[in-house]
Amino acid sequence: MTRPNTIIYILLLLACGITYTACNKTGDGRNPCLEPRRYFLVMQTCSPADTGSAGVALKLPSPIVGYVDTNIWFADGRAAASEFVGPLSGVVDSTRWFVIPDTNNKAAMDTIVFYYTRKPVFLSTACGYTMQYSLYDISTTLNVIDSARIEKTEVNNANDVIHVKVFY
Amino acid sequence: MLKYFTSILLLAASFSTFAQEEESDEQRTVIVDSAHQLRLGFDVSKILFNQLQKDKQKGAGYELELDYYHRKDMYFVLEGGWGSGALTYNDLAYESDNIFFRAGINKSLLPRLKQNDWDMAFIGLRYGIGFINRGDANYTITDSTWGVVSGTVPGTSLNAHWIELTGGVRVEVAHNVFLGWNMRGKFLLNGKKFTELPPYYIAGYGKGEKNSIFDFNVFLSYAIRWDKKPEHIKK
Repeated sequence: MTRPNTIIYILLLLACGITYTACNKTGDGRNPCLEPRRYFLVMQTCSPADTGSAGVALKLPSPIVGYVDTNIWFADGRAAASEFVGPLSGVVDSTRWFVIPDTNNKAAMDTIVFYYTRKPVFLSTACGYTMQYSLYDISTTLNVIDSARIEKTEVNNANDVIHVKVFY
Repeated sequence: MLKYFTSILLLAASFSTFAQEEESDEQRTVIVDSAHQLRLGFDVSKILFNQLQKDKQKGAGYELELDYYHRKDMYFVLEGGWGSGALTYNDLAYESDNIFFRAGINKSLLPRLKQNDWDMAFIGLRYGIGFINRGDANYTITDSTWGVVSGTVPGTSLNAHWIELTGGVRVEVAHNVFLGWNMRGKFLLNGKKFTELPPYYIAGYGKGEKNSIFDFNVFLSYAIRWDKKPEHIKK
């Protein structure tokens, strides 16, 4: 049968449990999103290799790279670079970038159009959804650029991946 | 010589005591196991838990427990309940509801001393299954450059399977009325099914996004008892 002390212990433990549960609630309850919410395309500029088709990374002297339809660029010509990382549009199925290899010669500009399919992917209840892209075609003007090709089709924030190579 | 004689006497006495204890244990088991007990409990902590929900993320549930005293401090346990969950953020909104069942055993760590001693501190094991309906999910992806994309993911039906390790106490606070708590460690067995838009809250388990969960119940229970037939206890 039950002793009075036992009931007191039970109630104390019950109070501790309720306190523990209550103290684990956070402000608005939603956890912070700790992972990238946008997936970026990585483009590398190359010169043709002597053998094979891999190409050799070619640093453009002072490149400006950005969206054709906006005033936004993600390489501003301050430093030589051969890799350019930029977002694709999650609203439409193609995105146009412009590439100016040298700020001193802005006439030498090319545009590159990336064609892709979009797929919303669930990240977490903290982050919601993001858009994943699957490249299927690419076209470019040939003002300075020689050619371009898709290396990896899936744009999903995988590490050490080059999605597109552009040859000069 | 006297030393050896004393030793033999003490040894014999201890054997005798051991034999008596064994017999006593057997008798006690027969006495305490001479009645059936069926106990129905309701998790009263969920009433408080359901009131503590935030506006934009809600999980509510109700839990019932039925246990039956088998013998030798062992109980068969069947639990069940129902509940719902909802997320209503600007970029993600969906609802779900489910029912669940759990089955398992409790083993009391405090041997019953007499027939009317039903207080217990126990450990137990459960298998749980939840039958979940997740409604359509509306999502919005905001692109700072290009604008906003919205869409809907169709609803679906899912099953969740999990195991639990549990422990707790039950104390008879009034005649046939028990109060007690359970702590539970829960481990989702088919977590891979819940990587794509898991239900925010699965009644009986917890947050669908987590593969392991700690949970707490407070049960208020009522027991009914009846005696076993004498021939069942004469062995």
